[in-house]
Amino acid sequence: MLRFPQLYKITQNADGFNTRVFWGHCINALIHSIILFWFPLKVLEHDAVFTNGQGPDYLFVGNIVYTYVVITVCLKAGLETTAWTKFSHLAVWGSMLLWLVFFGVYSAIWPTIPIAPDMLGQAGMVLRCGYFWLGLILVPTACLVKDVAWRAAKHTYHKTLLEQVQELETKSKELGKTMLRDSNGKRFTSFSKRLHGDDVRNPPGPPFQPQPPTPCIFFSPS
Amino acid sequence: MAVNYNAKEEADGHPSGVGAPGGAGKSRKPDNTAFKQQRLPAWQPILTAGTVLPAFFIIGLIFIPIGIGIFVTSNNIREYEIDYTGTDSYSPCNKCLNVSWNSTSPCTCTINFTLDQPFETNVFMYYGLSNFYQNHRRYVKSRDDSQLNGDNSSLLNPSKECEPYSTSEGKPIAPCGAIANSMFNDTLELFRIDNETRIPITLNKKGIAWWTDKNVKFRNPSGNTNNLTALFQGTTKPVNWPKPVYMLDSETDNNGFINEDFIVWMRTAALPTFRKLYRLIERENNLQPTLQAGKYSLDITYNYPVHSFDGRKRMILSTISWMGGKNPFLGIAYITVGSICFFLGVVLLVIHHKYGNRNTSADIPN
Repeated sequence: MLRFPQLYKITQNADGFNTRVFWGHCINALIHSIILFWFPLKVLEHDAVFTNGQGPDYLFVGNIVYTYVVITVCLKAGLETTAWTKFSHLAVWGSMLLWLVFFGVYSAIWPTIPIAPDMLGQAGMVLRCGYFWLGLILVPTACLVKDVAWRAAKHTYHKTLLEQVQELETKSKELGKTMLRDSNGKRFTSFSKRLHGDDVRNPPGPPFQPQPPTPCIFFSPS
Repeated sequence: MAVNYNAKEEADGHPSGVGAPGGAGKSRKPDNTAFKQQRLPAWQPILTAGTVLPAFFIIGLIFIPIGIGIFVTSNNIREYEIDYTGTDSYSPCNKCLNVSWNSTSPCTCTINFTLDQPFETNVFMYYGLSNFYQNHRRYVKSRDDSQLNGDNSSLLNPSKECEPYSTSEGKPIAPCGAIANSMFNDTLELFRIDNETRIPITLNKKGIAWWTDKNVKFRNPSGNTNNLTALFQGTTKPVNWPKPVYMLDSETDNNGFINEDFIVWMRTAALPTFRKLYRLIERENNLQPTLQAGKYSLDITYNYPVHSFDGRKRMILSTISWMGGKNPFLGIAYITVGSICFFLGVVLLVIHHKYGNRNTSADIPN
């Protein structure tokens, strides 16, 4: 941040979250909802879903829709994440797994525990349905294909400063330079010192830096 | 007061060289761990057109053949449907159109049809209803699952959700609720016509309900299962049923609450036009198709009135594939999404060529 103080402009102008971004997300959510509801409904409306000819019910459709919702929401959240720490992985994949576990348990507790009689047997039948697995590949992909394409296109033809800086950092990492950044963009001085033994105050950097790096000095107001 | 912050490994958290004001007090500085100083190792993916291009093309190239495969499989499934509501005057079932639930003599009608192509594998016989909202909220709630699970106290004391179908003539109804009360009770029989002789086709009524339903969720009240009449003592039949629940079938493992037609009906459908499994027609041997091409006749005992709410009734014969019944939507959806992916991949390729190799040095705006 000290090398590119212009990065502060992003939060000052509320570029990351303003009315336009909000409504963009709302409309996106509306499109996702349409896909997430109507695709499974149309797939299951003929009531012929099992290889033994048996039929589904309204909860079956609902459980399938909800599973797709969980998968899509987790992947969308992951798409918005710029830095994946181990907690991000836990949140994204762990949420999907947690829903699956909950679904399995909730479908089996009646009548031992007197709740959820209508869910009995749902998990087994849902996971046994070929349409569920085919839809699991199709529906989240259909929802997110536009988001991924939009993001990739924007990053390519209309890069913001933040994205440019992030790309520079990854490029310099690939080139093996000693300037290492952590997930917050802060200079990870002790680590680089241990690895390369360079002078942490003035590491050699790419030639495009606008001003020489200044040492980190914090002034506390007295 | 200027503090020179050295990011040395200070595990104990105390600042070096500067005493905290007040002497022996603990420093309020956060620990210098990776978690608290936000230094966790992270993966920072950069999504550009060039990096996601291959994925889009691969997805497109995978989805389109899958979609074609599913569509072709679905088209190969044989399905035959007969609407036997009888609203048209020329229909054989027109005379049964205004039957009511308490008609003393059952109304029967026969519909003759022809199968052009044989049905090779196992055939499933469904009954379908239209304009019947099994997904109405109060209707769906109108049941007592403890009673259906064989709980003796719920048998004589149905839950409030079943109102107004919980008691009749002073006695509790078993099974209570609107879902049970509106159970489908037409009888369908299939005959093959072979040179003026009617050969009945064996219809199997076992195995049409979910295993968990038949074996766990629905249980008869505990007691001697050979005498179901005694187990249901003190209850009465639902208002619109011709016979009580312990007379649904003569076989004891298909009588009472565990009757499979009853269980299939109680599994409420999601849409107003639905179909439910009625019978199975099994293939006798591998040499002959299950249903040969030719003339058939459907005998209907028309008990279920649907005309008052503009409902329709149908009988459907269908084969099943590895993924289920006939449904072209999934195949078309796969082909569509695959094509969109491929198209977006092409668009990204164009964008990548035009803008992707611009000078990525940071042009700092002033």
